[in-house]
Amino acid sequence: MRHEETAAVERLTGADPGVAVTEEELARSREKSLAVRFTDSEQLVPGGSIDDFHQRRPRRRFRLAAGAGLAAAAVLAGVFVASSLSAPLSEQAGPAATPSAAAPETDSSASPSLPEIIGAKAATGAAEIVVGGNGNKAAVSTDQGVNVFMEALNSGKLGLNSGGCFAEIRPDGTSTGLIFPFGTQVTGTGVILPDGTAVNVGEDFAFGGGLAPGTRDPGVCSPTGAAFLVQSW
Amino acid sequence: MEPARQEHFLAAHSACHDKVYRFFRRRAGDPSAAEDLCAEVFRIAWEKCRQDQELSVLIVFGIARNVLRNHNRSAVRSMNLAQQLERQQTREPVSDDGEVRDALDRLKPEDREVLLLTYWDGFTSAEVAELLDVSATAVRMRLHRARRHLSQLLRAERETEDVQR
Repeated sequence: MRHEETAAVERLTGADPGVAVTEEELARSREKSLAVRFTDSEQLVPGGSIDDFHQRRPRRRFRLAAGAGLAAAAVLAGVFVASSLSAPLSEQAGPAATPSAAAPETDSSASPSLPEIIGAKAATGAAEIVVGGNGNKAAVSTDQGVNVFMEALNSGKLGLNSGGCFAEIRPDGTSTGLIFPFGTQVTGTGVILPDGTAVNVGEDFAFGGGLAPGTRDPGVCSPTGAAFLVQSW
Repeated sequence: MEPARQEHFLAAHSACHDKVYRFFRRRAGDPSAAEDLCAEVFRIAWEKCRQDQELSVLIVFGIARNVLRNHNRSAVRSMNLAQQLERQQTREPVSDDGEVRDALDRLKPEDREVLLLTYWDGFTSAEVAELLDVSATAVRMRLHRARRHLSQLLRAERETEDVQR
């Protein structure tokens, strides 16, 4: 290494922010990351079977959407929609409209009803099979303008299943169907997600999303029936 | 709680936690973000323990890189101001040395990653190669190129400052 490069490396090493990390910070983080053993994290199985997770409804993002809905209702309309005050929660839009998810910070006994949530659009699970140039296929969502997102993490490797469809292929050879977001293009080697991100066969991925809702059969793209709906990446 | 799973997890946690936390502190900025991301990594690791999957340091770092990538993507997609600010923080490595930070920001992302994994995170070329899924030769080439480019950028910065004085 030339002298100048050595000096640059020394300067780089000296600028390492990791050096400033204190033992107190580490202790706090250790405690927090050890506590994950006592949470209900079984609902999220990255890289594993999706059969036993995604059963719970998403909470955090929907809470944000619910918060936005509350704010919009309060600011723009100025009044609560009377009909929604008595409407059962199950009739409201969105997959996670439970009292605990929508307004966990408030006392439910003091605030027995919620205003209607406006503008929330959840995925229906509808998808079509798109065929790429060389015959490879992918299930692509036909839901456009979705703004309520599931946030389970599914990480694994992209491959082709027995039906020639892009899917998650596990080391033991089994596969899980993937439904890619609306606007995904299918290429000979993989898929191009709506923002231009390419994911090719053999590459590792980490997708956010959840079990595709509804009862639609993704066909050859998920012979086992259950497919993971990709909503973020 | 299954004792084998516990043991497996605690071994990985003990071997990796501090390195993973520093990895996030270097790239995600403030301690609370690093804490959250670190906890997310070990949540995933805990799940992998349930499936009896291997949890080497490199595998845990692979998870950490994915978690960081998702974190950065979420920040980029966000439309509100707070997260736009977060994006600015997460887009580039955090360093007190402004010139080094600027120089790092001007490197190619793949060169910068190799440089930081080597000199900040302390991985060998072989480990970086495995982590990035490229050949060790490619890592050495990128490292050579990154060092040279970094020194050129720092020299240019110094010369600019000298001229301004």
